[in-house]
Amino acid sequence: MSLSDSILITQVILNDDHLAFKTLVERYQSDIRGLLLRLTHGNKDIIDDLAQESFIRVYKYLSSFNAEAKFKTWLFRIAYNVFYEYYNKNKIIQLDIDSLEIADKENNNSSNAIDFQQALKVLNQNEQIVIILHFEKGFTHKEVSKITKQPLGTVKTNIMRGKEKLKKFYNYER
Amino acid sequence: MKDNFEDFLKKEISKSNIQIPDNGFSDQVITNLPRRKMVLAGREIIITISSIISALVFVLIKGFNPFLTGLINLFNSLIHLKIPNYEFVIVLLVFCLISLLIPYVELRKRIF
Repeated sequence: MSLSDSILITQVILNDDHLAFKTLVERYQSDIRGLLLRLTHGNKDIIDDLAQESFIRVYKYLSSFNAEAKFKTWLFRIAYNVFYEYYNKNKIIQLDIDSLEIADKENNNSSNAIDFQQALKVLNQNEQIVIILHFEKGFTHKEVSKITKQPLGTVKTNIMRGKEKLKKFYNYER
Repeated sequence: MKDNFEDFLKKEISKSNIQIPDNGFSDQVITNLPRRKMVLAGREIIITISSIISALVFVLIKGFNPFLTGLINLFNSLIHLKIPNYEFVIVLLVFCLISLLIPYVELRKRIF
């Protein structure tokens, strides 16, 4: 039977239990690395470094975590901060939707051939993060707001704008 | 009103769903964890020293006898339904409250 996040966190804080922390890392490493892979547009060389930095910060500041938010929300907040610092140092290029060549444009099934990773490139950084967190990771608008520190209204606006751009990208007319 | 595009988008996302195997990543993280510094916070030092001094003073002024006498008198008054020594009761209640409150606050801060 797997231990809950709360119990593992308590063991890490009180006893500096590395095994408990490793269990937390194993539990969330795919989510965090997946998020970073999306945000860096598939740059596999950097995601492990960013993910490792995220988990090290979690370990350092774990005693300051309170139960007001879920641990997963707090973890994603830290990972987002790490990515944001990296983003500011190395600007990731955003592609203009009109400059993209969509394969088999006349075919109604063209959207099936388009990877979501390609689709993300037409969004700006704020739109990307909210779309990924809400639609892929399943966070609510309020949780997305806590993770990105954007006001709730801004999150909803970015989601709406992101959806409009993606509709255009997928040529969605229904 | 249900947004059909959201359903479409979720389907597209699930097609390219990313599941990354650990492949030693968590071991690498554990290896690179920083060492924890064992630093006593100033507040903990003050509480510890205060507790030691309080215990020493209690012993030096031979506080055990009056305390025990007070407890016996309290129970006697309760058994025989006499009016108890209220001063002693109040001091006892305050003492119990502080004794329980401080550890509770500290423990709550650490765990949550």
